[in-house]
Amino acid sequence: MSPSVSPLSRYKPLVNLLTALAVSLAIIGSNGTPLFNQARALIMESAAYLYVPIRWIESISTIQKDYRELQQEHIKAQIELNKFKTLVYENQRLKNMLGFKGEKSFQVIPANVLSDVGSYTMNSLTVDQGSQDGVELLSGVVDAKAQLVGKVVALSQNTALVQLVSDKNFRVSVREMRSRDVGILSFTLSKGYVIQDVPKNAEVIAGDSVVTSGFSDIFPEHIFVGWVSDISPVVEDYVKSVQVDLATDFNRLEEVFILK
Amino acid sequence: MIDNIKYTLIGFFVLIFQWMLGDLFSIYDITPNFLVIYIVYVGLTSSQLRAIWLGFILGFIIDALTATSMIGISSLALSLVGYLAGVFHDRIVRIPVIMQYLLYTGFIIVFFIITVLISFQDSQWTVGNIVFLILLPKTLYTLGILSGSFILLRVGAD
Repeated sequence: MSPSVSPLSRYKPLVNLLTALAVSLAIIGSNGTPLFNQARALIMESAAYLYVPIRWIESISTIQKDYRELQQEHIKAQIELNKFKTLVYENQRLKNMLGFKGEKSFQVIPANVLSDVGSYTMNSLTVDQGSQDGVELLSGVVDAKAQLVGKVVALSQNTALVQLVSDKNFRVSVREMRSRDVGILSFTLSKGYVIQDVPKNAEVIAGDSVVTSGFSDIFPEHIFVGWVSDISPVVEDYVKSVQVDLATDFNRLEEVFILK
Repeated sequence: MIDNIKYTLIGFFVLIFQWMLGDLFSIYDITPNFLVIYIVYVGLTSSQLRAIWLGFILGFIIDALTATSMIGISSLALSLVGYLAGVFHDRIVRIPVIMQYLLYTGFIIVFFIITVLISFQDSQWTVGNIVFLILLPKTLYTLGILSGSFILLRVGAD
């Protein structure tokens, strides 16, 4: 006589699967809650320790080369800065004469890139600065040349997860420098980076520079985004879309700067 | 107990590998998923329950480390793949090789259908673009690596 199998043990895998699915759905439903954010921060914090020895070895091997490059960049930047200081002073004086209000100021927090994930589904990177260092959620992130990188979407005490411009869910308000037209930049699979809904009479040409518009609390204006690469024909008779080549090289990001 | 610790440690190694080095295997932004390969392996060679819960835990951690939206979707998908792979635990060696590879393809497609299609539901991309430019290339790439690994590990062989 064969031993009888209890119904409970027969359905044990199915019960376990349903439990796992239910918990997964509960997690999806609780995305963004304080408890969930704490759990996520704990995981990010723990994982960041894996990068400590790697970063140390990397920094030792590149520090001399980086220092020389930085010296050169510093001298060039100092000359540029002197030019701009004169222009800023002049601009400020003219604005005062016209009665404009002052611009928002921001601080910059330098951060090392710990890891990055790049694919069509998600594009993010982890950096070694967190809430303890003054980083806040939805802070803007730029590279060493002040070009747009992304924004902070998750935080732990010592790390932050940055959503890159190339992420499918990323949107940013941008301005075309020459024509001064404003639009929303996003990534599309068929055309790459596109500024949607640009008025059909906008005088945009290939090669024009694109910067952030400043119409948000995340990014100040004038952060360089990229160049116009192509302009699509007018869609629905009143708008056209403008394709953009991003300036930031995401494959070479080692340090970023978080705007606070 | 020892098996649980062993499979969990290997799972964490695979997870760290995926997180830190996954991008090195990226071709035109198509990255294979090593976690799904590992969960299929656990389901076929170890136990169904272990595959379900390892899938859940590893999926949650990888989402927490990398995802910008819909955190928890990988744990859902990997649990399901673990369950499906576990159904064929001990039976896989009796299945013809072609059928074995069709099953592996099915497991991987299930995983990517859930993770890719759901995460793209709010995008403006057409289903055709998502399927032919992302889902299928990812599936084939992951299947290629799974096939190589399973041949080396003699999974499904007598």
